[in-house]
Amino acid sequence: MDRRTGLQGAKRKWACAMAVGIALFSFHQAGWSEVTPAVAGADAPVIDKAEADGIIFERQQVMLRLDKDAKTLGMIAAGSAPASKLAETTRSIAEAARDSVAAFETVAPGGRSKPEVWSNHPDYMRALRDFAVKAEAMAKAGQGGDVNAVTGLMIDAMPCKQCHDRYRAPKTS
Amino acid sequence: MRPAIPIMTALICAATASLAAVPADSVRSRVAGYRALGAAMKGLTEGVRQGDAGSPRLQAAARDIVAASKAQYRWFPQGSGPQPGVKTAARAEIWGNAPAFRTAQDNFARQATAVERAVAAGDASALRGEIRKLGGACKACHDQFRTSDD
Ligand code: HEC
Ligand code: HEC
Repeated sequence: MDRRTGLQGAKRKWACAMAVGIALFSFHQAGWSEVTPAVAGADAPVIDKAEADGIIFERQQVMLRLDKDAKTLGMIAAGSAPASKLAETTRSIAEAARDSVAAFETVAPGGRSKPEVWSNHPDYMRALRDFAVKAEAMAKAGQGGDVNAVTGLMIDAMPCKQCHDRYRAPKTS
Repeated sequence: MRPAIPIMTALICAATASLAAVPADSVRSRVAGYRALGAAMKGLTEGVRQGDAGSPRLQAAARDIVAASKAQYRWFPQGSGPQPGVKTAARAEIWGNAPAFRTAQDNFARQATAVERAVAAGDASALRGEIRKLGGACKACHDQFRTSDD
């Protein structure tokens, strides 16, 4: 391989990563206007402190799994991780997205969840369920190993920043 | 042969010391340990969510968690904390405030045993509570002794 091709390859990867970044950013700018406030999740049972901490821990673990897989997927899309990991990575994101629905079902204020997670609980849960459905569709597309098909679905299937801007508090420590 | 004993002891000490002297290896093995622990915890949570309480699969997960809760005491040798060239989420306070860290480890170990007992008893709702408390013990230590990057 001559040096120019190598350089162009690197540029292409960079350009692709930039494009994904810009797309995610513009999507986030457009997002969320349709969300309406709702009554607190009065349907959910209330739990004592030791158990509440466990619930918070569980949802944070699910988010950390998502984070790890989203980073891998970004690298696959940019060509800096092998496409052979596509099926497994998108499958794992779909599973974690599904787990995130269960993990936020019980009202347990704390962690970095903003109070709005609980005061808009039905809307919040709808956003998570929608996330799970789209991530599942992306996983289906990923099973064939077609990176372009997945890249096309990625922005919709991973509304991470869009949700965090509204529902996740900044880091404290 | 009597002189062999001090020599062997010295060799073993040297071997142990040289193992402990490679912080990256200590970090790698504890991260592997925590990943296995995370996987066991996930298996437990999912099993219970699906209505399982005392199946062999859950028993195995609980055993793994108890095993990790014993092994954890060896995961933080002196000198395996944050330093240039080593990627670790362990905070320096683990060594700087050893008694508090030890307490966090003990709380986790105690709750791991409680979970194992609850799996043996096979009562789904009691088990769910114990698993949550176990998660609380994980969180208590992470909040105080582990850095997060996002
Ligand atoms: C519908 C909302 C929503 C979506 C979608 C979402 N998150 Fe989150 N995420 C949250 C909330 C809320 C928290 C704070 C949880 C807590 O601490 O109580 C969070 C926390 C996190 C954290 C911090 C975890 C920790 O404790 O250190 C990471 C990392 C993260 N999310 C990554 C992701 C990634 C990556 C995606 C997309 C693939 C994603 N999230 C999708 C709502 C969401
Ligand atoms: C006494 C303290 C302590 C307890 C208890 C504890 N952890 Fe951790 N955990 C840590 C520290 C410290 C790290 C960071 C290790 C490193 O990066 O060197 C960590 C890292 C992790 C990781 C990340 C491994 C990786 O991929 O980098 C997972 C997953 C994890 N812990 C799960 C758990 C679970 C699940 C429990 C409870 C069942 C638990 N931990 C209990 C201290 C603890």
